[in-house]
Amino acid sequence: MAVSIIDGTITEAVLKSSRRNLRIYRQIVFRLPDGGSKTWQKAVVDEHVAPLIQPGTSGRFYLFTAVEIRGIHGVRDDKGGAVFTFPKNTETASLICAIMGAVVTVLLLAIGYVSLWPILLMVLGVALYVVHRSTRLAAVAQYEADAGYRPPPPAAA
Amino acid sequence: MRGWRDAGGMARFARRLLGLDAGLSFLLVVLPMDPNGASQLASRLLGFVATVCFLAAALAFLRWLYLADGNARALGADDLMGSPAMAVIWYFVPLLGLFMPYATMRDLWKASAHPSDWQPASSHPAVPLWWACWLIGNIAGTIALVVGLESDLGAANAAPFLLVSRLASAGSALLLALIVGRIQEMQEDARPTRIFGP
Repeated sequence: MAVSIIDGTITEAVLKSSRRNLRIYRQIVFRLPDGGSKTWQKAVVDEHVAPLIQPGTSGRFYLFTAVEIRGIHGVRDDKGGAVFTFPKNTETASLICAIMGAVVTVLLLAIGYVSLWPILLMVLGVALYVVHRSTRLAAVAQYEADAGYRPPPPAAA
Repeated sequence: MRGWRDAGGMARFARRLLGLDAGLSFLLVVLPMDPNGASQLASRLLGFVATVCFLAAALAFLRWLYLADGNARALGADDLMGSPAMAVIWYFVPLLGLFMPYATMRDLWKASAHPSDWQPASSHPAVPLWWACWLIGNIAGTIALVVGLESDLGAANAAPFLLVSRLASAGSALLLALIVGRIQEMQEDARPTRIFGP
């Protein structure tokens, strides 16, 4: 499924690397309301969402998977915080691949050559762009459709 | 999300065809190949039967994969990437088809073993070994085809690549039969405790 939801509390968030606007977590462990746990590995999170990805954050987490990339694009926590940012890096990279493939194909055709590689690059770029873009649109729709949701406030100690 | 659909029959059918495919590949390796002899017709006939068997095994496997991927989601692994249809489509996507079918099968194994929290689970060594055999078989087969077409001594030069291709393909089919059987078992073991109703 391209987008999904987890209601729970983060018990572990291990940051693996930080690159430009992206934070990549080795693993994020959620404690679920039924006492079980759910682990997300190699999760990609935008820098605007990352401050809420830490142990103790409780609420609703909005998640996505696209090809071999998975991550968290939104959080509504039990303290009233709400943040949504979908990392668009791979979508942009796919579009650049598609454009580069198209440009090289046209340039080669102009001088009388045909090569399979730029055509493959273009097809792959277009396919990945469509997948990543549709996942982003599904994520936006998911978060907006859930606008009325407020997680229950934390229980008094 | 769709519910559980029985994939046991398709798993058994796919495994039989994969076993037959592996057997025919081995047979093509051990049979003496004399391009001018009387065995030429028999060899061609066997090659045709092996091709038909491979296509039937591929269809049965892809049908099972679609069902098994959906069943893993029905068991609780709702965060598997893509969809059951995508698990099948990856085999036909240029370049990504070199990696994504493996990633899908690796995740399917993990999700079948521990559906509710599958990501930290480990896969089985048979999965990467199956994919390595599949890639080696295809690469060696492609080289054999290119070498065989290019020179006068093409058939002789292509023979070692063809041998590697057939052995790797047979190994790949056997490993896939093992993987299909084990994933089906794990899903059926997980089913009664998680799925209620028919």
